[in-house]
Amino acid sequence: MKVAVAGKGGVGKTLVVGALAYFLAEKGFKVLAIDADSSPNLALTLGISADEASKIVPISENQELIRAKTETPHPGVYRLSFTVDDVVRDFAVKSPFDINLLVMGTIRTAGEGCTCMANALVRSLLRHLIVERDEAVLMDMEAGVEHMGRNTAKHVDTMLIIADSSLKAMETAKKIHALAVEAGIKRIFLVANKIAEKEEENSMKRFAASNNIVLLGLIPHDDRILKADRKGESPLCYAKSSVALGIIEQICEKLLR
Amino acid sequence: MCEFTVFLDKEIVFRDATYARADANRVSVRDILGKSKTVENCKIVEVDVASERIVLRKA
Repeated sequence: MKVAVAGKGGVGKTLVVGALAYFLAEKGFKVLAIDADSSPNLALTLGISADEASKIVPISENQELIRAKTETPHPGVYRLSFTVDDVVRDFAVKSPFDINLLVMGTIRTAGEGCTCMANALVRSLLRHLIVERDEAVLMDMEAGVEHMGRNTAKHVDTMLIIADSSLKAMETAKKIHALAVEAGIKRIFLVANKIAEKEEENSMKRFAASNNIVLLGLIPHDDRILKADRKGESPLCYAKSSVALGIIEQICEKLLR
Repeated sequence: MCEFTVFLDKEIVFRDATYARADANRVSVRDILGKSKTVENCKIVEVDVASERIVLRKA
């Protein structure tokens, strides 16, 4: 299973990716989480400390190693298949929740340029990545729609579009949905997040229905998630008792069906 | 996206090139994973970043 999670900034993509990774790992999946945001912070959600996270080497800074893996002794012949084990062993770090994390790349200095190469690398890896039935790859996308133009998520089989009940988030979700359909992604779902009132729930249901997007779940607003964020803790520590995370667990089970 | 389609006289000879080098009468191109191709007896006549095209012509 290869899943990309997209949406407007601040809607909760990273929380959903982190929680899905957690629940899949609990079910026995070998999970590779890819932080494809140029301002990566999935590590913190996965329980990796800020200090440890700052030492993670993004895959975009490992291009020579990747090329060394694709070369073979035969000129003009390249090894372009990667297993999850390959990627995990050589490029990922392990989180306390037994989730493997790959960081795409970031901007280290002002004027450095764009993240095109990093996106191209992730896209190529996803294209050639062989994922077994008991393995899952989850990708936390950059906010907004630019990644759809880059086709970074072209080779996933599932896209989750996260939105809260704000008009801006829903407009972005609508745009991402249209682009995902155009890109040929087979399974596309909407996940509503930070739902605090019945009116918001109804608004999301109407939005999903009017745009022909399957609504996979409605995650309630949860103060403990915000509190964990403020304290710099992983919200996954509350996984057993949080209503919000309980809904994400249900979303996980729906994805597996 | 900055990955170029490489044309030789209107025919696509390579996709997703992130590197190109012209050397005497040949052009070598390579993608992000290191897959490469060398086209002999040609030269680079056009590089269009906006359209992500590299155009080669027979020398």
